Order: sequence, then C-alpha cells, then structure tokens
Amino acid sequence: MIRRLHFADPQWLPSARLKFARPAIVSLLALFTSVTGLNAEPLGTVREFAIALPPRVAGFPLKVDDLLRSNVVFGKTAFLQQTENGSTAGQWRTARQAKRTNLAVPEKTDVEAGVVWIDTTRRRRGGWHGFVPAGGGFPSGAGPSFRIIWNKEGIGVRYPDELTPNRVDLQGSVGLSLRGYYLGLFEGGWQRIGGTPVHMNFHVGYQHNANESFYGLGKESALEDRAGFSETMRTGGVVLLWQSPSWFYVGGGIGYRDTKLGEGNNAYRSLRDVNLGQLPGDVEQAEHIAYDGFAQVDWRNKGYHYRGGLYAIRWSDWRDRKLGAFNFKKLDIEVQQYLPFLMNKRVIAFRARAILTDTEPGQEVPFYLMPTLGGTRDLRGFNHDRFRDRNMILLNVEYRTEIWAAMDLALFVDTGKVFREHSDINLMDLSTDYGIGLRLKSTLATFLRADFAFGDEGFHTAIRAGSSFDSPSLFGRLLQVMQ
Amino acid sequence: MATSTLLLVFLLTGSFSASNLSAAQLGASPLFGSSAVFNRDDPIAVDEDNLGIDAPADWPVYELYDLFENLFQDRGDPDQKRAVNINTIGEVPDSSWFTNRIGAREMSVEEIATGPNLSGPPADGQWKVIGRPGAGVTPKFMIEDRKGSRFIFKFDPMEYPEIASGAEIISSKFFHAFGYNVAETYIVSFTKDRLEIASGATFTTDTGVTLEIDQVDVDHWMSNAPVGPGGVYRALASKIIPGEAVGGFRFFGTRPDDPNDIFPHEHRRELRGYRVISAWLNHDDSRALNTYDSFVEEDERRFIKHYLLDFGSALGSASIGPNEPRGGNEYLFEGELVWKSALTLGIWHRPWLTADIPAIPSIGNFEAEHFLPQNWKPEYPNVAMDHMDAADAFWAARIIDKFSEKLIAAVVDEAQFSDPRAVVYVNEVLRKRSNKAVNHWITQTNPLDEFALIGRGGSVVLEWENAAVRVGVATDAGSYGVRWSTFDNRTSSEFQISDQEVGTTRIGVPVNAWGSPDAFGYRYLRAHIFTHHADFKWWKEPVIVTVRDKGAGGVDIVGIDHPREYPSLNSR
Repeated sequence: MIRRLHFADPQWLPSARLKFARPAIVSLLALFTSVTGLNAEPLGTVREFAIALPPRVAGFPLKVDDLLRSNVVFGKTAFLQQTENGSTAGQWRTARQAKRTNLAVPEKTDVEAGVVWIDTTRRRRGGWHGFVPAGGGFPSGAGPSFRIIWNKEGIGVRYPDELTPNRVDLQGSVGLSLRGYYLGLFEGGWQRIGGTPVHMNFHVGYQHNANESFYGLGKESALEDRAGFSETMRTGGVVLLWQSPSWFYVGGGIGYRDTKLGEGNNAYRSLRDVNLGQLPGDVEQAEHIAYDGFAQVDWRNKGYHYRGGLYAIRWSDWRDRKLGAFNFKKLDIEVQQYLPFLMNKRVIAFRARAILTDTEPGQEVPFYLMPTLGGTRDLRGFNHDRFRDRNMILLNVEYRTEIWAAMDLALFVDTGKVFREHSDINLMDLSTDYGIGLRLKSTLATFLRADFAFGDEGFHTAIRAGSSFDSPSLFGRLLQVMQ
Repeated sequence: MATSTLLLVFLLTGSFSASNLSAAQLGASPLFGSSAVFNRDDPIAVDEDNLGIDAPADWPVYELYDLFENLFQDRGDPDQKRAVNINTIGEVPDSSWFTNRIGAREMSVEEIATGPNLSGPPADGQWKVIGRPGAGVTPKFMIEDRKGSRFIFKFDPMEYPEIASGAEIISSKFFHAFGYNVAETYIVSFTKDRLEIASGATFTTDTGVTLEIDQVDVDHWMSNAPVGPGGVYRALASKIIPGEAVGGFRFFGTRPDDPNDIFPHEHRRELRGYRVISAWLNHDDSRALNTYDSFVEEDERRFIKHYLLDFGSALGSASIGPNEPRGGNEYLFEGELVWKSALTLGIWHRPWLTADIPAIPSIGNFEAEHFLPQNWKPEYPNVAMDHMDAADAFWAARIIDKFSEKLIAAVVDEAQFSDPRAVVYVNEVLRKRSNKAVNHWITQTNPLDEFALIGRGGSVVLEWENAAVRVGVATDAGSYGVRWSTFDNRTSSEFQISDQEVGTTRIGVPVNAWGSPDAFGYRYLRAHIFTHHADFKWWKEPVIVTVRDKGAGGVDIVGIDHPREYPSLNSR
C-alpha cells in the first residue's frame, strides 16, 4: 500500500498500526512458548541490564563526554542491545531507566558557591546592622585608606526614596589612611520636612590631614619649593534648602571650622621654613563661623551623567571669631554641561568653575582656605593642591566614548590658573594638562576612574572612585563641608 | 530465543513474503537493533520523557554565576554534533520541553491569539496580595483571586507605559505557537481598591529581611507604574505555572537528578533553534535565569516540565525601560570590539548606533534595518544557541515562516497598545525581521522540505518543495540531482543504483531496487538530492531521504537528513 505521507499525518505511526495487533501477537507467542517450552518473552519487554556509567553523569563538572563514550548514545546512532522490539522509544526509555541508577543531587562547584556568596552579599546593602566597610573619603595624597560607615537611611520609613516626606537619614563614619590621615564624621538629614520641599542637613566632623603640600602662592610657585604641613579641622554645619521642582535648589546655612596646622609627616621641608609669618594663617589659625547661600539648577540625568547640565552659585561670608584677621567672602560658581550623541554613547562634557574671594582692607584669606588647583579632580596633570591663591578659574573638557557597556574611555584637557587680583580673571597664562582615562561605570555611577595625565610638570596617574567632575560635596545632600 | 524471534518477525510483517528472505538471511540476522539505523517506530512523534521520578532538588539559576559561567567558562560538549533529540526525519518529537504546534499544523488566528491562555485571567472581585517574588528587576507582586488562582502582577515603568507588558504578551504567544512551554499571561486593568492584603502575607526584601506585607509596600511596588484616567493601572498578570518550582534549566548538560533528562541541552534542537525565534523577537534575555523547571503531575506521573518565561525584555524592552541599543547586536562583553573602539578612540563605532528608531515609548529600541540574523546575539553566550547548525536553523526558520502577516497582526493586537503608531510600527518591524530571519536561515542549507510519496499510475513518486523558492528568497533552482542507492539498515551500507538530473521537484522511486531487508523485514532506498542553483552553490550538499518499504505496512519516508554545516565563505 502506498500512501502520501507527511510528518503531520498521525496515521503513519507504526506503533499505532501495531497497537491492535499486539495483544494477538502476545497471545500467540504465549501459546507457542508454552507448547514448545521455549523461553520467549512477550513483545515489548525491556531487558534490564547495567550500563557502567561514570559517577555523577551530567553533573558538575560535566561528564557529557564520558556519557557519550560509554556507548549510551542517543538518537538514531548505534545503541547497545536494549529492547526486544527494536524501538527508538524503547531505547530512550531504557537510557532513562539506566540513568535512574546513577542520579546525583545538583551541587554547586566552589567557584559557583563563591560567586553566589558575593552576589548575595552585595545585595544586602544594609551591611551588618548598618555598618559597611568603605574606602576613600580623604584628599589625594592620603594613600590607601579604609573607613567604616554606619548608615541608616529613612529612619522609620520602609522605602526611603526622594519623595518620602519627613525622611530622616543618619550616617557616621570613621576612617584612617596609611599615610596618617584620619577622620570621624557624623551627618544627617531631614528631607521633605512636613511634606514640604524643604530639607535640612547637618554635620559634625573631625579630620586630620597629615601630609598636605604647599608650593607657594600664585601661578609662579615652583615645584621644588614644596613644603609639607598637617591640618587638623573641627567642623560643623547646618543647611536648609528648598528643592522644587526636582531640578532646582536654593538654600543657605551656617557652619563652623576650627583649624590647626602642624608639621607634615612627609620628606618635604616644613612649612615653618617658608617665609614664616609672611603666609596668612601659617602661625596662628582662625576659628571661623561661615554663613552661606546657594542656588543650583541640576537637570543632569540621574546616575552616570551623560546628558543635561548643572549650574550652581554659592556665596559665603567667613567670620574669624578668634583672631579677627581672617574675615573674607567667597563666591563659588560652577557650570557643567553634557552633550551626548550617537545614542548617548559619546559625550562631550564641559566643566567651568571659578572661586573668587574678597576681603576688606586689613583682612586676609588664610592660605589653607584659599582655592587650589591640582589633583585628581581639577588639573589632573599636576600634584594635589599644586597652585594656590585667593582666586581660581578652571576649565575641563572631556570626550567620553563607551567602549564597553561598563567602561568609558575619556580624552580630556584641563586648564586653569590661580591669581590674587580679580583683574587677572582672563584666559591667559593658564596651566594646562591633557590625558586619557578609563571609567568603570554602571547606569548608577562611576565606580572607578583611572586617569593618565600629561602636564608641564610631568606625568600623573590617578585611580579613584567617583566622577572626575564631582566637586567635593559642593551641594551634597547630606554633607556640607566648609572649604 | 532465535526461533521465537523469527516467529515474531513473521507475525509482525503480516503479508511479508518469506521467499524474499532466505532462512539463512533470517537466521544470520542479528537480533533487533544493535546496529540498525532505523527502528520500527521511526520516526517517532513523541518522546516519552514523562516517566515518573522522585521529587528532584531545587536547583536555582544564580544570575551572577550564570553570567560568569557563560562569559568566561567553556561549558557543554565542544563537539558540534547533530542534534540528538530529533527523530529520523529531523523533527523534534513532542516532549516535556516542546510541543509541535504551528510547525506541524495550521493554527487559526484565534488559537494563536489565545496562546497558552486556557484558564482565563484573574477572576472578578477582590484580589489578595499574597507575596512578592524576589527575582528580576520589574516591580511586581503576587495575587490570589477568589478562585484561588495565583498570578504575578508586573508593571510597566512610568516613563514607558506598555513597553514591558506589550513585549511579554507578544513574545509569549509567539513562543507558545512555536512550541515552547510558557506561562499564561494576561493584560489586566484595575483600580487599587481591588487589592487587599492577605492576612499574614510576607515578602523578603532585597537585603534578605522577611517582612509582613503592608499597604505601604503595595503602594511602593506600584509607585512607578503609570496610572491612567480614573486611577486605572495596567499590569501584566502572569499565572503561576502549575507544579512545584525546582529551579531553572541550563543550556548545556543535563539535570543530574532527573532520569528523564538524557539529552545534553546543547544538543537539543529546540534549544538550539531558540536562537532563531529569539533573534526574530530580539529576546536577548534568553538565558538560563529566564527558564523554569516545574515538577508536575500529569496522568498520575510526576516529572519535570520545562518552561521559558519572562519575555519582558524582548522586542525593544528591557523591562524597566527601553532596551540598550546593544541588545541583540553584541554580547555584554566582546573583547575585540572593546579594543577596536578603544584603539580608535571611539572614531570607529558600532553600526547599530546609527539606527533610526522612532521614539515610541511603548516600543523602545526595536528596529529591523540594522538587524542581521546571523549576527544576532543574546546578552551573553548561550551554549545551546552556539551549537545551532544549519539544519537546526532550517528547522526553526521553517516554523517562523508559518507566522503570516495576519497572525502577526493578531498577536500584536493582544498587546493592547494604546498608541496606534506602536501597533503599526511593531507589525512592520516584526514582519521585516521575520523575513530577514527566514530568508537567511532557510538558505544556509539545502532547503528542500515537504517530502512526500505519491502513487501515480502504478509507480511511486518522491516529491519535495524548495523552501527557499517558496518563501521567495530564491528563484527556481536550475536542476536537482538525485542519486538513488539501496540502503542496508543493518550495516548502514549503500549501493548506488542510479544518478539522475531532473528539472522539477519530483522523481520516480525505483521500487524494484530495494536494499536487503533488515531484522524487521523492512527494505530501504536512499535518495541523495542535490540542488543546483547558481546563487547558492552550497546547496549541492545533498539532502538524504530514506524511503522504507514495510511490505503490507506500506511505503513511507523514514529518514530526512539536511546538511548541517554552514556554507563557508569560499562556497558562497
């Protein structure tokens, strides 16, 4: 009989065709064997036998090759004697029954267990009772550092997010570095007070910077004139700010800073050897109360910035309550702009910053509170705090290209200068560096940044967390460091 | 034993003529099947991998390790062998992994549009919030309706309404029609007052703390969900898969505590062919984390059934927003491209960065112009997909071809996009991507299919179709070469009978030249069919068709083998 056959035609199944014949055949066989005494097994009997399968077949580490080499082969290739009726279904059934004799509980390998532990641990962002280890938090030059942070976000609130009214956050941290820096800080915030757009932040802190550098004042300071000193600060502050809409902030605060200078613990000459008494604040240090007001427009995208802009201005009045000699006013202006293209995978980022100070006759800005340039956040091709004077302007341009989903490559140019008189605000006689960097990132933040910069004073590398454009807590949510 | 075997042969073959086989031949015949290529029940239509087993362990897939393992370790069998779970005509039998649907029969528009949704959406009345599944990034929680049915409710992001739910609805229906096991998913619209919190319901936070569910939790989970007029929310309701969850499956190896799981997953055709449909639908999240093994009971047997789920990251969606433009175009990490981009300082850019994608919030980054099926990739390497050969791809592409424009439109309608631009655009992109995928993978092997034996005027004719011509990617072939040979099923040996060249897709079967009968008394002929086409030179690799004479049982096609190797650059 010849028929048109198609895979979709169920009637071609031979087993279906034999289905009704089977009982008759079995009966006939039984009759035959009973008559003849021959040991014939009924149709379809599966002969049990043992296959020497290796242990933990198909477990980890995989032994697929062993399984395939042990002659238990699948599909239509050769197979050990399995069933009496030469059936593919029977062969597969026998292979399953054979595997049944050698099952194994799935187990993690050591590598898998380790990765799972890391993954599980990183998800527990709360740490151990709120305590988490961290690094950083110190200025450049502090060397490798370690901190313990205690963090409590949204006290009494299950889901502390930006819109949660009356959200209270507290954070404390202690840290030290291998070069003798140490700090203790306690800060907190009360967000959306009474459901309003008003926030309040406070902080108290104690920090000892053991190894700060001074090269002299002005752009003409010499690298070889480097002197070292230590700086110990007690600080505190309270800020009230209004945030509405979400991209606009305005506010003000009051802060306290008591500074003591001492000998640095580095190999450079002591600050006391540098025109002692000629440098404002080198002999006696002030105790300041500062009042400030600020306004900020921030429409950058959240997380890793690639779009939008930041425009901020801050004015502060520093009152020397101890010596009466170091009263000054400071104006801090910063503009950041991000221009993305090619589906946001290429970004040109600009930053311009100016810090201008002003004093009344007879008053001075203590040198340790003068704006500086140099280091991993501004002029990356120069030492930390390489240039220092009463005023500063800075311009950074970066071209960032995403080379991998988690990594950007950046080409950058930094340029700026410090100067004493406001009349020197211009784009002449700038110190410039250029370089290349890598940023390890996610959509949330820059995890790690490595910059390699070339300037007039040599080659510098910087590896640290955070974006290159993050000014230290300029308008941070929690911390308002007086600088 | 030998005598009873001989009796069996005689009885089973019915009108089998003893004169065609000498006693010596019968006596010398080996006992059944140790070296037979074809068995009596070939080609099988069902793989009985539902034998009852003991309760297996819970074997979850850990996201980070799955990423690490597939990116940096070599898993699975390095040999590129033919798929091992197929039957002798190259089809995938129905099993706990796969059910032949649109590939095997006509499906109506209604059937496609219904998909797996046989039991219905959440019942009317109040819904009790009973928990929150931990995995995944999408905001979600679990509810139980008044009938006791449980669903996971997932929400779209505020800025991109309908993006994830639309992608999930569309993809689940296509995957179901293709043949995979998927969960029932429904679009539901509701107001918050329909939700109440079940007494004692708990959930585990991201930090591992278990808390009782409170209204503030539900409010938080829905806080970023778009709200329509009248406070109406849209959610994707995914019905809890029946059975007991026992983890997910990997795309390589087998499950060591499941005796039914004997075929290494990287050698399963439906898991290899998963690449084709995933490419079509841009389901770049096609990884082990989005699989589901359920220990079910059916017909009084308990066994593991294997599902695919979580299609919220298909099409242009990444569940919580639009998919990255990289999605489907590049692995999460590809060293060569990283170096290329770095060394050129970004001057060289990935071609897909210039794709012109309309800004439709409910669609995201989904396009067809830059889509190259052969270059499509999931988020990170998938061992089974990497093992896909030309025959696997051909099998899958033929199924994709069954989704007509009308069927695609019916499925897209199920997503209930409120923006008519989205409906038009998704239809257009799905159609174009389908054409590209089918046109590419259909042509990677000798594309002959629809083989049939026709009785014609006392003779038997073997007919076939050229799938590439049928879908319109190729003109008619110049000619077909057919080499007939006898085939000995016991020894796998062939003896050439004739060599013919035909200009049509049919040829007479030389029924007077069968091979020696096997132990079952069946005889075989083999046709090696070469396709001569000026534009597709690699089609000269033959499709091997084996015809079987079962005597009174008739003549059937018992074997179809397509060439497995992709064409080399030289052969193009």
